[in-house]
Amino acid sequence: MARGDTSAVADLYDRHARAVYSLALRMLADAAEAEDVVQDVFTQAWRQAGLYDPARAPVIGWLLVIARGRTLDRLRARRSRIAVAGVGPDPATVVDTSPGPDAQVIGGEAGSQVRAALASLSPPQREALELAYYKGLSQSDIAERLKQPLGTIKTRIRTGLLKLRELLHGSLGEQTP
Amino acid sequence: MTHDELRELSGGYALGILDEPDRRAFEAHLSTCASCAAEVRDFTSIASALALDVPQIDPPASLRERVLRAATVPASQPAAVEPFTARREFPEAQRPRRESVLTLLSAAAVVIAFALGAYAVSLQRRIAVLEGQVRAAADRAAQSQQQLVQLKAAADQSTQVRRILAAGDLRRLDLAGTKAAPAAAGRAFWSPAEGLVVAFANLPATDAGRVYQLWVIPPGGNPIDAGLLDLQPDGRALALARAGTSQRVGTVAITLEPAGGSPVPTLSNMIAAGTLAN
Repeated sequence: MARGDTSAVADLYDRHARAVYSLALRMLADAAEAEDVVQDVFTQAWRQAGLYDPARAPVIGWLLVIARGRTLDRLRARRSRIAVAGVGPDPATVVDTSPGPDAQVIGGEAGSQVRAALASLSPPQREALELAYYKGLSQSDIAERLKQPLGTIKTRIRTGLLKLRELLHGSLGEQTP
Repeated sequence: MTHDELRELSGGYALGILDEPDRRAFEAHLSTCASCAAEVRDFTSIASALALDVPQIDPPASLRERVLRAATVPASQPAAVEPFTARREFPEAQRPRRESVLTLLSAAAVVIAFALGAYAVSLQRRIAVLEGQVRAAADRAAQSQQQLVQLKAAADQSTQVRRILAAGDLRRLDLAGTKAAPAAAGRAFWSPAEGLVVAFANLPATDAGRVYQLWVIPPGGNPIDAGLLDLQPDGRALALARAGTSQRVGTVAITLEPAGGSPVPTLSNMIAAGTLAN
């Protein structure tokens, strides 16, 4: 590993730490743990920079995938600690999902496209997708929590994603992935 | 599972939330289905849209120093990846600003789907190769086993024949072909102590589903089944009477019988016979 080239990682941090921290905070509802996730993510990104190909796509998507993976690891560890102890609230229910009054959303144009697309999902589709993405609950856990048949949950998740794909492709005519 | 049922799992797979049996089934399917693999790639990018929909909150200023220090400490194990060099900078600052959401998020798809797909395919190939090797080894082992059994039987037979021919009480009798096979001939060597061996020549080829069966008929007794003949293509056969069937020999005969042999000889199908002279 090249020594002394800290400016690249500092630059990366300055541009994306906020998105990574915000996602971890939204998922964990715990500022100290969210900070740990940020540290994990940038450490991993720095060490695995060779796996990332900047010619193919910007780095933010990659960082967010790492961030979600690290955060889900923590959520699952938390859930199993609680399952063992048999006490305490289910952490998957304690997160406040309403945006704060001074919340800003990432990336201007991209953020507003995403928000518009998500807003057009039916509430049940969106609920299932949020439990899947932010909580990392398995399909059968989601079915249990929402008291719906497993097949219904599978369908909601897939049709929700199909709809998002249609909307995001549709609003971005010039895009060729 | 049908293809539609498997495709129903693509979203859960992209989100990493399939229950274990579903995950295994879908992963096996992925390596063979290009349309589901494409859907997973799309959904992986799309799902990351949810990451952009959270309230944006600045991390505490103290975190920056802590992360930069931790991130740039050399790993105790050298990372098995290319060094992070100045040349390899993260370049989106130079990109045109009107980037689409999907392009923005597709790094996830590139990294994850590519790695998963390649891994699944390479596993699939390795499994196929190993399965082939296991099958070939098992076939060879079965073949060797069979050869061993055959060699052992041949060795036993030849030992038995040698003991008969070397016996002090050896007697000989000749068998003549019947009208059904006038050219057939046989010669039997019998030792009451060691057993009976009969060599045949000029036996007619049998129809499919028919075999030659050897009979030993004691003086004044009923025919005893002494076993089936292993007929050679040239019309020869060497028959060793089944153990325990030749303590007393009056007549030796062969008949043509249905495959597997008969409990009593079909006398109308007698092919050759001979009786011991007193």
